[in-house]
Amino acid sequence: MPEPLLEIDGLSISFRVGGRRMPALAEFSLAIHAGEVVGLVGESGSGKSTALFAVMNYLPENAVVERGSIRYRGIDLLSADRATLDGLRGRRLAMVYQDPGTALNPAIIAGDQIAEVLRRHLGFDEAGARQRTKELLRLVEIEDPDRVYRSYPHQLSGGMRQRVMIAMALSCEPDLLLMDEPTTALDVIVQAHVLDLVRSLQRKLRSAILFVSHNLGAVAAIAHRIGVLYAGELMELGPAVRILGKSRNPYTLGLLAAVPRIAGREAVQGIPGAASRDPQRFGRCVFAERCPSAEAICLAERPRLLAVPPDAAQRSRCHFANDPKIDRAWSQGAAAPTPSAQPRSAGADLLLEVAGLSVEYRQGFRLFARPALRALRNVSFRLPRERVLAIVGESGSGKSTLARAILRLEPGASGRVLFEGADVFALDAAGLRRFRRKAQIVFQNPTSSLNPQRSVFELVARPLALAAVPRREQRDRVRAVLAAVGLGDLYLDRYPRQLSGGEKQRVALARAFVTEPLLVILDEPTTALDVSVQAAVLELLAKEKERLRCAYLFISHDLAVVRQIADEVLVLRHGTVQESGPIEPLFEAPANAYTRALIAAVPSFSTDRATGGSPR
Amino acid sequence: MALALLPRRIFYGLVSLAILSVIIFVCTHLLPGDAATAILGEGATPAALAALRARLGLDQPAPLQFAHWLGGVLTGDFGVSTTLNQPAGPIIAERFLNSMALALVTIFCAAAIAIPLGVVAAVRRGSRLDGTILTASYVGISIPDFVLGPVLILLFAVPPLALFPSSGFVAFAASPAGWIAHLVLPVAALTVVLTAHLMRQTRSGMLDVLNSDYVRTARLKGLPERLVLWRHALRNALGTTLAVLALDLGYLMGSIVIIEEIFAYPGLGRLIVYAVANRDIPLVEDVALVIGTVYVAANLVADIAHAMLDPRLARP
Ligand SMILES: Nc1ncnc2c1ncn2[C@@H]1O[C@H](COP(=O)(O)OP(=O)(O)O)[C@@H](O)[C@H]1O
Repeated sequence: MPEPLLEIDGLSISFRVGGRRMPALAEFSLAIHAGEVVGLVGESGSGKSTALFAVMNYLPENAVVERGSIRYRGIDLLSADRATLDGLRGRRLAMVYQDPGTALNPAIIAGDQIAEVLRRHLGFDEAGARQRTKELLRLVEIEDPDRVYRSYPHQLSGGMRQRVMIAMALSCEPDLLLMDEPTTALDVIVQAHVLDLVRSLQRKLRSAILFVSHNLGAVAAIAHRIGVLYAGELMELGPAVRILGKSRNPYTLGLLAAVPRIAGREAVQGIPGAASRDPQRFGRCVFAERCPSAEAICLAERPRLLAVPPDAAQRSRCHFANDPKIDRAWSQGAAAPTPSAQPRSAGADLLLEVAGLSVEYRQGFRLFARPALRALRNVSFRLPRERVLAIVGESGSGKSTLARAILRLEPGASGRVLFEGADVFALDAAGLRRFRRKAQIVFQNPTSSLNPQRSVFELVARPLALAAVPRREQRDRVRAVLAAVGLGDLYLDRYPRQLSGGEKQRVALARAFVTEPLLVILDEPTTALDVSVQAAVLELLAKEKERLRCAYLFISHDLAVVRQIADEVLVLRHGTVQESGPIEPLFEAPANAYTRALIAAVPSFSTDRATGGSPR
Repeated sequence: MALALLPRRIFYGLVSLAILSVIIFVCTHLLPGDAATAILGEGATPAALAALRARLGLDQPAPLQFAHWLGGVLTGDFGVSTTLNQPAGPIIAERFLNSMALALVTIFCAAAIAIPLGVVAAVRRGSRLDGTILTASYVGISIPDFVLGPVLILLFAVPPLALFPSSGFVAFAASPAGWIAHLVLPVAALTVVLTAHLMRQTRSGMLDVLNSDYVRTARLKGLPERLVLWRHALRNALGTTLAVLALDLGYLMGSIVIIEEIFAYPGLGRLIVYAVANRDIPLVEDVALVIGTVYVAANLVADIAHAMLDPRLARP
């Protein structure tokens, strides 16, 4: 085997936090060969970014490298001085970041930011650098390089900015490209284009890539080899097809089972619990407390990375990596929620009817008002009881405006919203209060929607207190609903900062469910969550719907998630309805070109490919 | 603020000035005793008072007086000072220029000291140098100007040093050297406070920029730190600092009242103190309005500076 290009060897990194050392990465080893694409997947906090920025020798100030080394062509990167690093960064090792909106300098035109790299590393003069930059812009499939060259970053769309970043990273034809969640901040369709671009450029330029993402679909679409990180530990490493199709690690298998698939309604299954942050966790298996196959040894001894037959190309950190029992571990999960079987809306069971709803945003005061912005145009739909209608669309499509307008939170709304036959826009104060009790909303970001000063009990009891429910009854109902969302009495007196992201979202859901609403509007309720937690929340939503017999308006940009939960779909773009209808036909044979593009853009992968070949 | 919003900002500025003018007028007219009593004294005969009131227009209804005053100001007629018996306009103009000289020299000095120090403190964050700069700025902020002024006089204006005159003023045309000598101590007093404030603003603005994603990008492109700072960081950090500077001009108008009084410097601050002390109501009204206008204009300049320096606002 040839010398690897980059060799990370036994790297342990911890962070100094308030006098303590919190380990973040444990004896992490990974070799990357020239021209190879390695994907690193993991949920938030698994140590992906730490590993990636360590390669650049650009760790936060409170990071401590406890052990290990990173060598690039024999150069020890962790002990290299700034001058050596400056020679490598941008020239041999280049990076693409998660958010191209903040990664580009707002005060410098895009082209100059690329040209600067050429001048610094390849000795171009000003005119030559400009010339070459435009070629690079063309290489990343930008059609009008002259305009983009002259544009400030804020004048470009998210996808354009990421192309500029990629052009910048590739400008010196680096040996290794480090990509930190390069598609996460982009809209679905743009995401797919950028992934395609990276794949084709990689074939052309043969740079090696270390691609880090929490999105298994994106990694599957591009990587030859995949490493799976969990809580700072490399759980499994191997050829992409084997990791996706023949994983021998319970965590990887759990993760795979949790990823919703666009291809059809399959059981998504959450992994109970949350990742361990215990500083002592590396003395045992870090996944032990969440693992269905765990035995005594898992809590007593740290598993080694065991080779998985037939060869050592795939290795799994599990005491039972070669025991068939782990294949069965996740199989007794929940069944897929099936689309509700009732016949379609007979008038009697209609819950919500929206007719000709438009929303205009007035900008500024009347005096110098600019033309009104139409955020929503003429949207109509009907939602029967106990059904789930998904509103899908990219950012800025008007999804959240629609949600707010239905709850009468948008002053610029016109049209009609009928809830149980009553016109919401015509309700008096008392009627509006009753309506808002029966129609609840849950937002994407539980951290900002929960008041940090209030305990879980106070948060969940609040809607009841507003409805003047007696204190005794409040306590009972809060307990019941917390139990229903999977939080025990233990949580009653906790405060939001003591909760994980998934737990916070459960509290937000409990608060919505406690009034036993007929309609719950879920505005991207799982977007801020890790996949395994997302799956658990989806399971919970399906269960609560059965229990309360309520309807959901499920707002999401993620079509794979929508596929798992919705009965009907409405596709929004620029505030207008593109297409709507029952889920199966719409996903199988979308009539609208935009819908087709949205569906095609979801990175998909199958877990049952027996043989190799290039991914996807 | 995007540049497109400039007309609206100007409009709001004018509205605030209109409101201010009403407040000034109402306040001066609520004071006990009117201009006529102030001029003639408590012992004046009712007939003399009435005659003077008629001459000054004080017998007219208040709204009419207000319109008369504001109309005059807008057309450049600031009325007549009742105690000096001179047109107020030229007096105010002269004092205004003196105060502006003081303010602008102060701002220039403060910027020249504070911006480099603030940048250095941010770049060397956590170092001894940073610590020293920060401590000095705390001290600077916590010394009130009415203490600092006399201290400077005791140190530099009386023997043994006696380097600068302790008070007074010499016109630039008469003696440039004298003009400068008389400016040194008041400028020094004002600069201390302003520098402390500006330095902290610069430091925190620069720190934000140094922790930004785009500075990380610049470093990970392999640019040497010098280029990272000059090309990528400073440009963004200075935009906010310059805007702060313009705002400080407004803030300075407050300190100037005290400092001018301490150093007997003939500016607007001293003039308004004189006018209030002597019940010279036209003068009080005019000077208050001029100071308010400087304040509003400074805010506007701050907004414009900020918008012009940030391409996100200048070119949407
Ligand atoms: N600057 C920091 N200070 C303290 N802890 C940190 C810091 N950066 C990351 N961590 C911790 O290190 C662990 C790994 O983080 P990270 O590498 O950012 O994970 P990922 O990129 O997979 O989300 C997490 O537990 C995180 O809380």
